[in-house]
Amino acid sequence: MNDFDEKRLGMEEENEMPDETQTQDTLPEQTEDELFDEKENESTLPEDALEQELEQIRDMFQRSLDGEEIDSSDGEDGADGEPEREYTEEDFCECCGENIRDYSKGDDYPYCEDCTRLMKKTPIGFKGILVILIALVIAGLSTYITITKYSSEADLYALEAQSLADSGKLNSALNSYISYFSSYQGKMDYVGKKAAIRAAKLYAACGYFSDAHDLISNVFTEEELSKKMYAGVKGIEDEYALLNATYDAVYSVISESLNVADPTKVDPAPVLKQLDALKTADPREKDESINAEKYSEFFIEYYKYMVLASTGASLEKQYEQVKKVADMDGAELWAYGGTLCSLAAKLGKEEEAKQIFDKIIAFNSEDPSAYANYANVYRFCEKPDPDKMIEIINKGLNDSNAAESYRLLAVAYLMKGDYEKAFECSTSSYNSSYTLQGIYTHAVCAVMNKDEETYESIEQMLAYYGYSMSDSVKKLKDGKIKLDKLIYDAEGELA
Amino acid sequence: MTTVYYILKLLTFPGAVTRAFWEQVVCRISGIPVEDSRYLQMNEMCGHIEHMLAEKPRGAFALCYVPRFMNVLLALIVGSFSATRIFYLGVSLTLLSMIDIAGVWFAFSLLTNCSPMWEDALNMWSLVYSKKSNIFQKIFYFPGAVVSVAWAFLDKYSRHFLIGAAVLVYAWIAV
Repeated sequence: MNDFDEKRLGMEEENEMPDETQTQDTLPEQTEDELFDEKENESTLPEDALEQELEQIRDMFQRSLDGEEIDSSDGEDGADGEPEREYTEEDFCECCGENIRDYSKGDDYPYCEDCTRLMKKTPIGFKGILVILIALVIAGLSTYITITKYSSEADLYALEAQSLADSGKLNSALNSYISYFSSYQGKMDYVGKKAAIRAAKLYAACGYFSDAHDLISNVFTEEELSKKMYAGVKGIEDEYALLNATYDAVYSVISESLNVADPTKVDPAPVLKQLDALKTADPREKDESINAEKYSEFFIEYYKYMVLASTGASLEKQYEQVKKVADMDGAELWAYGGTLCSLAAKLGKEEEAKQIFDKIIAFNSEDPSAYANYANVYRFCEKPDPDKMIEIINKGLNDSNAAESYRLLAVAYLMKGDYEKAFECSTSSYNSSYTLQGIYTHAVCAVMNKDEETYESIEQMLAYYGYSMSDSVKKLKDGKIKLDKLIYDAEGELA
Repeated sequence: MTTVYYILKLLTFPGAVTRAFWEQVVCRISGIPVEDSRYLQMNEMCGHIEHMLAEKPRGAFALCYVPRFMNVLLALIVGSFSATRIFYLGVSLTLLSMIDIAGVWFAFSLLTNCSPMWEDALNMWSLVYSKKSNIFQKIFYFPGAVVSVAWAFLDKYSRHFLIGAAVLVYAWIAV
């Protein structure tokens, strides 16, 4: 083989072309691995990128197994074309920690929809209901004690009493207080101390110092009365003691001078002078427990009026004396009010009588004697009006202390000529209370009704107590004077 | 301050518990999510429940006003006769008066736990007096809103308790 042939062989080897006559079938067979290896060798992607892609595919399969929707995109964009948010720990619900927070309620809303729905239905605990039930049980027990424990409506009497007192119905208020304290008979420890203080003050304001003293003695101990918080009650006790001491001192003066058969014949001047001397006396000389340096001046002045009345002083003088009492400091309306109104009416002083009447009614609208005293204005005026008298008296008529009211009703009916009605009223007055005026009025009514039996029984009763029938009434019975003389005599027995 | 607040709430726990109870009832009715329904937590939430802020003026106002109204009503029912017997009639200390003392304490607890949370009051005010609300709504809610905010402010610094105690002392002396 020469060189040319060798070269020609080499070139042929280099330029050797595949035999076109060879077909796939005639190509030598290759295994799959060899094919796969070939393909792998022929791939153009880097190894890392391939791994990432495979991982994404794996995740996708996993999510489909978990039931999640598969995003069919190539993973780089969201379905709506917006970039998908990557959730961090802060995006999850603070309650369950599993679901994403409900951002529709705001960026900082901390809970998911499910937890929000559950929170709206949080069960209500039993503690609240239990406390409310306990509160209602206490309320029920307290109500029971107030209303029914000791007697029917025990404590409510005290509430009613003060309400009545505040509205000026003092008689009804006092009756309610009596009911309240009666309910606690024997159990005065349970009585409300403040209620007792109010009742005692009301008694004192109405002039019933004895009743006030009895109440205070039953409810408070000596030790309690010495405390500052009960100073008001102590004050009532002191005033009671002073009035008692003043009465004793006055009585000792009056009894010496006026304890005679006919006081009208006694000269009042020396008696009045003796009473004036009491004003400078020291009550502690006779009783050290009295908490005052002087006797009650107002009380002394009022007793001076009584001396004038007993000794037959003129109505004008009596009126002036009571007026003086009314103008004093510390004057008590319960003491002078009715007297002043009555005297003003008898003297025909209509305006003054009306003023006093209004003052008394403003204090106690249930004082029947105030109405009765004022009604006298329509008896002693220029044109007597018995119907007006009856109207006024009936307005103030109630069960408490109505003897004087019935007596004046009897007088009014006598003025009208209705003797039967007059006798009925005078009988009521006579049965309620024995006063000389009441007895004489009843006797007059018996005379006008020609009731001898009643007249004689009255005479016997007077004789029993050492009194005799009034001369005026005897004259009326004997026909020596007319009825009008008795009725319209402001200083007479029926005045 | 929180310790003092918590102690006062414990001393008046009936009122604190009922206050939180009514709050929870109002939240339930108004659809306000409740986060924590413990009534006596040892923090400034004692006597209240943790809840989301109301979104509507009506709900916010109810949350501030209804618990107070219910507590006052309950206090009147519980304390009327007891307070009358102790303060007005002045009953002495006996076995029976213990029931009255319990009644007065209950009523006092209820009345000193009438105020809403400060946050609730402010939320109510901002909703009621926002630009969206109409003039009639503002007028209608005004008295209750002012009282609620004032009481919430007092409750924030426990001053309501001092006021309640002062009222009790005054009632004992003056009545």
